Amino acid sequence: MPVMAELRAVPSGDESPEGLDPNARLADLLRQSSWGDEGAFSQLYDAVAPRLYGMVVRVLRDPAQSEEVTQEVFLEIWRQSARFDPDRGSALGWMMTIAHRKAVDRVRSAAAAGRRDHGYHEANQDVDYDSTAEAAQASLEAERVRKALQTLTPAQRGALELAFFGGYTHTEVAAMLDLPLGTAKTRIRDGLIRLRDTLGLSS
Amino acid sequence: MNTPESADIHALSGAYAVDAVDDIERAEFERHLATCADCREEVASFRDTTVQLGMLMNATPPERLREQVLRDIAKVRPLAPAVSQEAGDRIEATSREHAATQDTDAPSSPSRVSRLSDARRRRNRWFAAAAAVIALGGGAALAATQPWNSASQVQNDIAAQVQQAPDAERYQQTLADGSTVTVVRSKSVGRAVLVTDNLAAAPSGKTYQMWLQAPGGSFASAGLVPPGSNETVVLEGDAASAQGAGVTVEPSGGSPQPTTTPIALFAFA
Repeated sequence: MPVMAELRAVPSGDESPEGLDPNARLADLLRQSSWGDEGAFSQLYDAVAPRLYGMVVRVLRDPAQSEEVTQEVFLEIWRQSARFDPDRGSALGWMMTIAHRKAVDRVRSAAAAGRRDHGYHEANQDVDYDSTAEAAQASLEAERVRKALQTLTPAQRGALELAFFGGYTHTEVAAMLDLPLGTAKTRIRDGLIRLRDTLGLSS
Repeated sequence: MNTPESADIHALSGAYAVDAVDDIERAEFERHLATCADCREEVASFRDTTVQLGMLMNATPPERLREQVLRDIAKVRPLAPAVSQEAGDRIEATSREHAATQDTDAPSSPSRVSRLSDARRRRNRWFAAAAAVIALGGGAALAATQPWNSASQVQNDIAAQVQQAPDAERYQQTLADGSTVTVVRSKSVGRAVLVTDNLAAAPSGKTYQMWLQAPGGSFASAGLVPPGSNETVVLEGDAASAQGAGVTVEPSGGSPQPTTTPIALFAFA
């Protein structure tokens, strides 16, 4: 089951959790990894694997494929670790961007090869937000995010969830929801803006 | 930036941040990002937001994945910040000798200067071209003023048709440096499109050239790849009957026939 605490975990209690910025630690581990430090990378893996795998499996659904893609994601993170620039964003954000992109690339190439027919019709047409919530670790942060999601209009949430969790393009989302072309991207953006503002993340 | 077109493209920031764009839109939006600070900021804030959304998606991976990952990385050398092509860098089976030898010729010391020039050639794929632009305004501004970027509406239209065709076939290869080259072909449109993602610049005096392989096996030039690292370009020639496509490094201006081993080769289904 989800192990939310891992992100916050401090290796072998040698640092105080208080005042420790998990992202600073991840950034450190990335930097050490870029020097070829496999030990640092294994710590990095332990810290973020549930997040990245969770992201990939949410998009891909299929556990075997998700495992494969997550493996590629970590290899990519290892290879690109020196390219991470903390000035440009958080370490976790950088890694999750890689994971999401790879997962999306995979569903789209599967779709292009005709293997996604069932997914297209059945998948996230009606995203069960509550089951998503159940799957998440009960934590204050997750609770906050769930609450924030509830502030979106159903239209915004539907479009955003199909795009982000479902891996569909805004054009596909528009088709799935019978929206005029161009409407879905607006809903996705409006949804993100509201979510961002509700979560108190500055623009 | 006040044309209806660009007003419209602002609206793509959300879809872009959550990867809900196709390759063409991504290329277009990244071009737009190079000149739009507002969108850069917005995309960055959306990425922060999606990290929060990720809180809802924890799942424990199988134990064996950890071993697999650690076994993988033991065999792969991380890229240096300064040098995008490492002689010792080995990865996926699809990788081929990448022709961007200029990087291995460069001094290998990871100095700030070489890092910058390297980065200018290779926009960071992952964290929004946006951020790269902030650091590397010069390179990005240059990219935005290249003629092939503004005069390619027709190309874009064809490329969009190909990519959105119901019979579009996608073929992707990952090169040794992690960049990807994708060919999308639509038999019904009769054309193929090449999409590069983070492709290293061709060595000085060289260019990437595309080829279509005729049913008899011979290669015909399908045009040159514009010198950007994230390009979408329509291959010249009849892609419907072609049995494959390839990309080689050729002297500037191109060659009548391929003269080097392809950096990427795609067999059409």
